[in-house]
Amino acid sequence: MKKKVISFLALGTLLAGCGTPDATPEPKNVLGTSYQTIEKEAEKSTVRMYMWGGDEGINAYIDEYVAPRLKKEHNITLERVPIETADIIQKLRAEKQAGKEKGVIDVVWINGDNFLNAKKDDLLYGEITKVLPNMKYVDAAAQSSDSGTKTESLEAAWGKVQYTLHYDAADVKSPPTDLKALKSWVKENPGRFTYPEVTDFTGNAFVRHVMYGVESNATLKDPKADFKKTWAYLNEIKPYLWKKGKTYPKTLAQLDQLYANGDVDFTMGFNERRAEQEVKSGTFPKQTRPIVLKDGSIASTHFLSVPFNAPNPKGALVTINTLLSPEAQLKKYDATYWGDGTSLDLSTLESSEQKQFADVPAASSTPKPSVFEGKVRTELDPSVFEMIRKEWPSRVAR
Amino acid sequence: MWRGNAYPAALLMAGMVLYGLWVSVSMTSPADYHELLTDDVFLESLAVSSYVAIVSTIIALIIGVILARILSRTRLAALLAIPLFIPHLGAAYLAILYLSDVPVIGPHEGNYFSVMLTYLYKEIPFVFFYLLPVVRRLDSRYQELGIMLGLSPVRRFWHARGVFLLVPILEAGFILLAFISFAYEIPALLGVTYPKLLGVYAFDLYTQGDLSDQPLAFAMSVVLTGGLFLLLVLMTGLTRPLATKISRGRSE
Repeated sequence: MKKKVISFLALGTLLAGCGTPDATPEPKNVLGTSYQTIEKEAEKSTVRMYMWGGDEGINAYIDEYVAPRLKKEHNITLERVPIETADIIQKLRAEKQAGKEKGVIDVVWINGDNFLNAKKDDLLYGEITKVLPNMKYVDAAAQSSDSGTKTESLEAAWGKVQYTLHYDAADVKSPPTDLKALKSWVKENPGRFTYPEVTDFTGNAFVRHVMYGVESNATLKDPKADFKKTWAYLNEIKPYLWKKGKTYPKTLAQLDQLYANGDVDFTMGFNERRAEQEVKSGTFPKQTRPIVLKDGSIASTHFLSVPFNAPNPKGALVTINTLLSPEAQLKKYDATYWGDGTSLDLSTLESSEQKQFADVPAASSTPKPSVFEGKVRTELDPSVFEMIRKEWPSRVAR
Repeated sequence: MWRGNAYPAALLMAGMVLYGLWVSVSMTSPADYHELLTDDVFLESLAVSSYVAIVSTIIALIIGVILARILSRTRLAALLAIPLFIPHLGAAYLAILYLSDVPVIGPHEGNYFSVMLTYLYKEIPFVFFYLLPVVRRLDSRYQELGIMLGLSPVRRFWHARGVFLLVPILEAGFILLAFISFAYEIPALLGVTYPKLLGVYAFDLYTQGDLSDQPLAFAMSVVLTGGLFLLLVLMTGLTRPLATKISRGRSE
């Protein structure tokens, strides 16, 4: 009996450790104070930025450009934590359920489904964009909605990119320019093309591009429609894909790996400039060239936000404001590090700054801006993403 | 043999399982179970996971037992400890490294051979070390007694060795079966897009999109825990009479 009592006590002590609240959280009224005050009080603090870490160029931009600049200008120490965005949302949900009012994340890089989930479950700090001075430069159209979900000032547009296919011109002599030609090419060159499975952000987007190419406008507007033609197209190319379509790369990183190894001739992704850095570092083939399909290219905006339980919201706001400055955006646009499309409305900048953006050289793997004319498509309804995830496994992969 | 107090550990483990089960049940409705059990994607995943788990477990048990017999008194046993120090994730990367160019058994093949090979690499040593103490304590005099009594080789094996090995083998087998049918890392790295093994499918359902499929992932964990629990009850129920007899020193 005594033994049982002791073990109960031991268990109790263990479980008690789980529920103890941390130190008192920052007051919520940070958003009510002026930016000057926030800026001053953020000095000497540490900001933890949680972001997807699968791209060396992006990581280098944060570590080698942004972090030193924040240190110099605001004496803020920026720590980058590489993590899948969906995992961040899971973590925040768990913390919300457990009533943990002081978390560990200050800044998150977010968009699409993850933003939708965060907004729905009230996981974000509040109307942060209203206090940031540099929001005056940000493109209003890009800022207003995130993959069909209204942003309502909860997040700030950080970059804007176009979906682009890349191919190795050493192997592909006459590249396809629309989906129909792509289908013929895939059939003539079995095993040389594939796309990531639809649980992946980029793979899901490939299916949406097929939708734009083969479905009628009425079908596209109705998420409940049966996208028969899309599934038919994907099934038609399936036997000619890499590994005969029996398996697909699980992530874009895996597809990039296949492309880098020469196992396939195509890769794809949001961001028309994303191949520049990879070609320069020798990862991608030298003759990597872009294709913007005639059927359209979906524009995507990605954002920065602050979680509801950020331990250092002031530091987070200063960090985001810095990332939205024309200088930081110019550095991001330059392919030295990242080569990411700017979220700023260039007409709000001074002419010297506009010229700097125009002067950034584009490599041969980047399409000329004129190529996108008439091809830019807006994002489909968020429920389409979910429908694709639900239907694709049984209607295509099976 | 360790004779400490097992209550705290048992309570903690039981507490975690029961709490997890309670959370899962409270997150699901009967409709979710109906949807899950009529979902072809899940059923195919269950079938292929069972195939992978059962085949890996049986082969690991057979090879593990044979090795334990052969190597129990040699120094080679230490060599088998090496895979124990490599995490499952590491073993999966080894498979990608060394099996990628091998046809038929390479990663991302629908037959899941690379997944099963990787599990064997990890689990044969587990079976080996789990059974080693039992094998070492087998008393060869039972064998001699059997010869003296003129038993057939099969009955001799059963009475001298089988009865002592059966329960630990079933225990090791149950642990492996439960683990492999729901584990994530190895099938995530080496498996194919369709059908996915249960661990990978559950993770996708749990994390994907607008999270509306989370109840299905919870239902899956309830169904699997329930199934494994039934198996455990059945197993202990069937072997208890035997275990009691052994502890009393009789095996007939």
